[in-house]
Amino acid sequence: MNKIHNHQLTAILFLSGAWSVICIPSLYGNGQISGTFAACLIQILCCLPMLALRTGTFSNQIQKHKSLGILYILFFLICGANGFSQLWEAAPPQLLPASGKLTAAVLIALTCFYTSSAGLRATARAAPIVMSIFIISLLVLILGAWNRADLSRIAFRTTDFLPSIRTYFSLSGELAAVWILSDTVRNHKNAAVNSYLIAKAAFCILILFFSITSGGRLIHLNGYPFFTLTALSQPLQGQRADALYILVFVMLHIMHTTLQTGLIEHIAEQMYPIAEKWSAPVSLIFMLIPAYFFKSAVLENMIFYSLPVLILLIPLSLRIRQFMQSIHKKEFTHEIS
Amino acid sequence: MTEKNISGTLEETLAQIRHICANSSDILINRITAGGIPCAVLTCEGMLSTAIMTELIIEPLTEIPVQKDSKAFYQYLEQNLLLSLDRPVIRNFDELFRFLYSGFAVILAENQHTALAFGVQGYAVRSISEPSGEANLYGSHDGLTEAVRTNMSLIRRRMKTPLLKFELSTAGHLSQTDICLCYMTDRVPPQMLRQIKKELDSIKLDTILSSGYLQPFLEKCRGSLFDSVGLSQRPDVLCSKLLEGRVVLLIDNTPFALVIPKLFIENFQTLDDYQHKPYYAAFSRWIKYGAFLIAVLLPALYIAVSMHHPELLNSTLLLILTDAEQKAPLSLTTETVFVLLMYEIIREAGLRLPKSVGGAVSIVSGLIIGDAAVSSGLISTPMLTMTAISVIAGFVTPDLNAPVTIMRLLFIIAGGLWGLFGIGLLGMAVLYNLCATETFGFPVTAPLAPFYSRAMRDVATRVNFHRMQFGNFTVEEYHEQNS
Repeated sequence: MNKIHNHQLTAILFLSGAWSVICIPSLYGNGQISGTFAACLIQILCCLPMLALRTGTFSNQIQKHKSLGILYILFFLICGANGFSQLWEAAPPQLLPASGKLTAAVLIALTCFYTSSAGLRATARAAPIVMSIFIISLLVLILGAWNRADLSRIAFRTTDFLPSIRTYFSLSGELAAVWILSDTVRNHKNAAVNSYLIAKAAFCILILFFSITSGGRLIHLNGYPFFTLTALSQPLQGQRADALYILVFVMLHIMHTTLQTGLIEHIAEQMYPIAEKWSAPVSLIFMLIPAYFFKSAVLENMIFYSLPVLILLIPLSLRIRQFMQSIHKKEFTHEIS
Repeated sequence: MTEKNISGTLEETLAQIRHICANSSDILINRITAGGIPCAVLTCEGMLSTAIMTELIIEPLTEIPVQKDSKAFYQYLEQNLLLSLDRPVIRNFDELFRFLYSGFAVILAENQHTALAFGVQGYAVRSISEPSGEANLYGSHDGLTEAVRTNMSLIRRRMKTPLLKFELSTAGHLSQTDICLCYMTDRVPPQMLRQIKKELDSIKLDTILSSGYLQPFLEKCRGSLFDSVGLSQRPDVLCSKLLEGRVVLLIDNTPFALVIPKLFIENFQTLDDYQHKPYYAAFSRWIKYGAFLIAVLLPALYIAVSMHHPELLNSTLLLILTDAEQKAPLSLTTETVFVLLMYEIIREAGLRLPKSVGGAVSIVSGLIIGDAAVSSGLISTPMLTMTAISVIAGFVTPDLNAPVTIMRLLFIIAGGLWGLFGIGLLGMAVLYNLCATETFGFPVTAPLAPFYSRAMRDVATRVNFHRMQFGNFTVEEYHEQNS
């Protein structure tokens, strides 16, 4: 795979994660904010051993163990499907003008087919540009919400703490991409991953904080903190600007799905070079099908349970295996000598 | 043509020449005896200067003392007469015809296996004039011409250093067009230079009639909307590119030089930016960035907002637009596409017609069609205003005319069908198209993606030359290695 810069890795992972964050439903209290903060810390603690434990490049590993590649492909398919499912569930408040939710998803899938064909390097180059647009829109959003913010609207409920950790984890599918993408980064890999984790947590907390403080009880009407915030934060007087966030919504979903499709394409190509041409359209179809039949809650559960396996157990088991092999090799050479 | 060597008697050689060129009328063969040796002077009509020919070739030839044989005759010509500065020795018919058709005079002597060519070119060429497409207020007012050697001298006059190298070669199987690769030996990325040469050697075209024939071979990314190889008519611009380690390709018979690689951001940079004060140059840059976005997106956003997201408009504007659109018989999207297509037709007509008729086209299109269409109610005034602003904004970045025209239409259709959702989708597709475009490992999106903060001094702003003189920037910094 082509080499990418560390800031590009941060941007790719952040944008993919930001899509999940804007689709978080039903988070209304201080419990969620502290839960999200805790989840982020746990993720940093999980990522550090993953980066330390990984043995060799991911490409080498999947060529040795094809089942590993298949496992990752399945996981990214679920992440992509979850993205479409979230689109369908979050679409009504956003009022997508495409005729019907399925049309909107198909249009996004077609665009993703094109964007993923441009390669992961194009995704890496596009990510910082999209991120800068996203940050500008976020600043406008926060400026609009600033005047409405009222700290007394925060509901103190500690019961939300643990569920929010779980929610945050189930929306962090891009963590599995860290191992694959970190092979392609030139330098400062750990710093890039940590920057992404911190940026994502900051974004999530920011959205939760401002949606709670400016929305209060209104947030229950919509269900999605980010979209409530876009509806409440109107920087211009006399006209509504929330429709402009459709652009952000579309950009983030395309980045999210393109990343999943691009990773599947990359893994499939490494395992079976013949799969290069058809892996992207097939994977997009296999993302749309489960998204149509399953609710995002089901898919998020799958992500939640498989994520520890992918980011901790597999690197750990490969490391142990390598360790055992090296011991065996030493014994063998000792016997020969 | 043939690569067969020159051999045999003079008569046989001349017969062969007549056979190869099928007795073409423009080949003139003059049989003379010079220094007691039968020989022939071959020229191509209209390609050389008669005065120079008489003064430098014919007269000295008649004054040559008697020589013992043809070999001594050639030796005398080479060593005692300086008939011209450019005096290649020809060994085969392929070379003979190439030099003959390039305006050289060729001398053939009896029983010799070689011929002598003398550069006495004197064909009619356009004089150096101001480039029509790259207007500049403060820069020099000379532009490239059709003659490759004149263009080489225009660059050399500005770069009096042995580090600037010109490499002449030919391309085109039949046209044998002279092409000249120019680069700074200390700054050009060697890998890129090797790849460019390899690419040029692999071209199997019969003719090279313009720079557009070679451009696709140097652009490595197929299906891209944006150029990764630039064009320029200005020698001063070419010098600035050479200083940044780029390769310039001059092509005979075209006043446009190719610059490899070209970055997207260069579409917004002009030589005048470096003449103005930095604050004004930076302001002018941002105006151009804004104009590009307006040119591409304004009509599409207008349609998307009016048709799908009217809540984005304030009530006064909404009432004006509703009132205007209610009177128009066509849908907003159809109306806009129609107006833009009409504009493109008028532009094409104005471009191809003689200048004397061009004025009439402007009157008919601007006054008659435009005014009549609005007053009859076929087209709404707000939509026409938006389209006109968008078209005028497109003039700010003339190099991007082709992608802007196509993108504007596509965005209008996407905005009309799916509103901001469609614009978002297409915007991402265009962004990826731009990000995927690269040539010889140089991404056109550099220095924005990948981001180089040091380069922002000439992108987000324009620092003064006190700071610009440090850094020794070369384009090699942007090269992206494959794994």
